Amino acid sequence: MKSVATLLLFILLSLSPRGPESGFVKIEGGVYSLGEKDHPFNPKREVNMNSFYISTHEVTNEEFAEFITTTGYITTAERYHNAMNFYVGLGEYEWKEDSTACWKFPFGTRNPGIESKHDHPVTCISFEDALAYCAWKGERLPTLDEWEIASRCANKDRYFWGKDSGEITTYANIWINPDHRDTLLHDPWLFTAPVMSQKPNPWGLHDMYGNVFEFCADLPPAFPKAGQLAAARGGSWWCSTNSCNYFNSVDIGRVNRYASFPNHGFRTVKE
Amino acid sequence: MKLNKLRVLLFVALSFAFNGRTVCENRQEHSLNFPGDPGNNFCTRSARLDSVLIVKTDTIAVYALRPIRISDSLFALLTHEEHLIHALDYPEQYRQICSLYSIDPLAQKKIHAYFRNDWGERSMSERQRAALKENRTEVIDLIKGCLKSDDPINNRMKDLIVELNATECIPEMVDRVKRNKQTDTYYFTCMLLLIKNNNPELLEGTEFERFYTGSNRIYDLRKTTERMEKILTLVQTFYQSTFD
Repeated sequence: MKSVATLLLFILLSLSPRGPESGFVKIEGGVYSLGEKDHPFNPKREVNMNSFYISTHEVTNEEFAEFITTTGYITTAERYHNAMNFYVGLGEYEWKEDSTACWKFPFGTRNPGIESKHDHPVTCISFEDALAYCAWKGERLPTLDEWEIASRCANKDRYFWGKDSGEITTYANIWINPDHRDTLLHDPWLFTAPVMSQKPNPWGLHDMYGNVFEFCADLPPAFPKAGQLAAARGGSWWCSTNSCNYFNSVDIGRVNRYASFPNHGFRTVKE
Repeated sequence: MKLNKLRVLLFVALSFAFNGRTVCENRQEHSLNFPGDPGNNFCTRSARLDSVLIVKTDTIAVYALRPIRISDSLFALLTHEEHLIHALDYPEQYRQICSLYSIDPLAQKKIHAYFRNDWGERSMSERQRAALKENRTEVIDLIKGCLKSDDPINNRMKDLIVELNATECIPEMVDRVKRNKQTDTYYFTCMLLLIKNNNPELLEGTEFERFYTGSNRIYDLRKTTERMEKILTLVQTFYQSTFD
């Protein structure tokens, strides 16, 4: 029954106006300056990187649906009913358990699903789910360094345009209200926005900041060794200037590898 | 009791089959190092823990590594002490760490409007919180015992104190603050209790008035000796007016 529902969803998404084709941008090999002075997890350093190709956008619901339909994969949230949910009015950093939430219903089954969001980034998927998608696709998650190189566009500041976040809303879908208790300011995209709807960075990559936190393949050496961590970068629709500010090229967020949040997603890399 | 032992042993046997890990391996990796009063440490007091309980807590440790939780039936078997250990050491719910505070070098110089997001990628689940609330009196007694010690305590303890509105713990927290002036942040937990109880002396006509309330709310204040002293004075006054 579930597989039939997923198949129907996939058909519905396929019949909708097509989302963006999954383009890739080649990042040339070379020496890149990464990190930031005195940053506890991302110290300033230079790295010598081989060239790689990175997706111009985050993996979409449509793309993920194809993976599910083809493989019958069951996501962590669907298997364990352990997803976390959000709604306006919660306290800062507060998330709520929702056993009904999953990639098809990122905010639970009491709220609309992804029927009209084929071109939005897939969310409410765990790091493990992202790995499974990549394995199927023959691609992989970017490493922390690859992600940062792609986001910086060879700029040594926090943002690819400079030192401060003044231009963030030009390039990123973030939470523009001061906090999450209410939405006094009009936000064109309260949650996820369609991928590539924001202006790309100078290297043609969209949503490197904001929209969804993007899983990376590895962990910084300074992260706690115990536990089941996954690193995620770039900030998300949830992040605001008062609470988080993680929509930049420097900071590195973390989450349990089995956790599914409606503000986490990923993009892929290939050689 | 026999039936419970049988259920737990059966459960453990199934978990071995499912997980393939040994009890000894789990105990080594997930020893319950919960600091408290050495003479009354309910976590390490092996005389308190018979073989069934040791097996039970090992089974909990197995599940700490997995994205599944212990069953409702096993959860219901836990004593209030075990509920506290389970909640603090094996929180079931997820969090995401994207807080500026966790890397902000100035964080120690600020009083924040809410808890710093720096205690790991898990938090207590709703059923864990509910179980602790159900045994509130006993749990608060256990918390008080831990506060009296000088051992570092899991930050989730502070979250729990506020969750339970454990104003009974104010004397122990104040005493702990005075013993650990430079590093302890229990004064902050005291402040959150005052806010939770809408303490007018703190919230009205003071610099805390806009603390995460109102349309022009603020999110942090510079930490000063005067502000810390004010919080401690107010929380002690509040305690006396509530319990005396």
